[in-house]
Amino acid sequence: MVRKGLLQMLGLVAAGAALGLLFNTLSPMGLPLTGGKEARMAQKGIRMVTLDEVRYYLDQPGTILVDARSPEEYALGHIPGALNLPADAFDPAFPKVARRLHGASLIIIYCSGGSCGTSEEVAGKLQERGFKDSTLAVFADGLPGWMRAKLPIQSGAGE
Amino acid sequence: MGRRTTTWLERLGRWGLAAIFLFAAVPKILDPAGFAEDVTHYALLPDATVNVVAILLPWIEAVGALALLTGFAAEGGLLLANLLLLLFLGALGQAWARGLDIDCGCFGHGKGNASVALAFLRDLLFFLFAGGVLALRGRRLRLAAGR
Repeated sequence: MVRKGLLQMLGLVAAGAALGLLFNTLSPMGLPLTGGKEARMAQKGIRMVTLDEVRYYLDQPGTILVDARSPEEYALGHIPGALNLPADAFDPAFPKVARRLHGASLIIIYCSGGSCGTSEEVAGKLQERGFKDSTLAVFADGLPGWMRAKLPIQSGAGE
Repeated sequence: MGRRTTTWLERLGRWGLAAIFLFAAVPKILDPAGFAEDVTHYALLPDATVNVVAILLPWIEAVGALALLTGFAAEGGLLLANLLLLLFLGALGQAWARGLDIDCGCFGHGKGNASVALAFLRDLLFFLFAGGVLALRGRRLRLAAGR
């Protein structure tokens, strides 16, 4: 039973993988196979920005940074001036920052760097709230990238 | 337990497992980008592999569920269900141990999924259930072979 079962299981995995790839190729919702976060953001029409770009835009009027991590993580340390808009508590937190976000010409969202997905999630939720793609950007390297450059960190709870 | 009872318990167990896996797979298939976001929350995989997992995993779950439902390649379906549940337990366990406050994404993106701890305990129950159904399948085959 075990040998037969293992062979069957491999067959099922291969069939599932083949169907998944086929569906992904044919579906308008299909994801790029490679490219990770950057490719997913590009598909949504949201651009990624580098640390140098973040620093450039922060010198321009109308740029707002959004920290998509939890309030506890935000309180421990965040990029100075960033607003806290946690992905998991987006709905209750949004009204507190909505006025400032609506007045922004560019909203740069970040979380804990490469493998975190909360900045993507917040960008998607802001899109759903009517924010134009051109006003949204994700800082992929996030707080770890900021800290690697030995840039200042601010601690304390949000507004 | 007689042969007839074993057969029916095993069959009902397979159908129950199939329902769980189909219920989990379909929302992920319909929203691959959302599932990819959920996968990133576990902070477990390199970013470049997240899309591939989000594309393939729900279909592997769905094909496994169909095998369980129809009885075609039932042993493979049961082994796959056990293996997947073990993988999910590992992913949820490490997230719980690291104190990650994330939606598990188990039954689709943004569907008010359970907390990591609750999802881990639920998965543990599913895993025990799947193990029980696998044992029943073995007993059924032994009975059918007259052993």
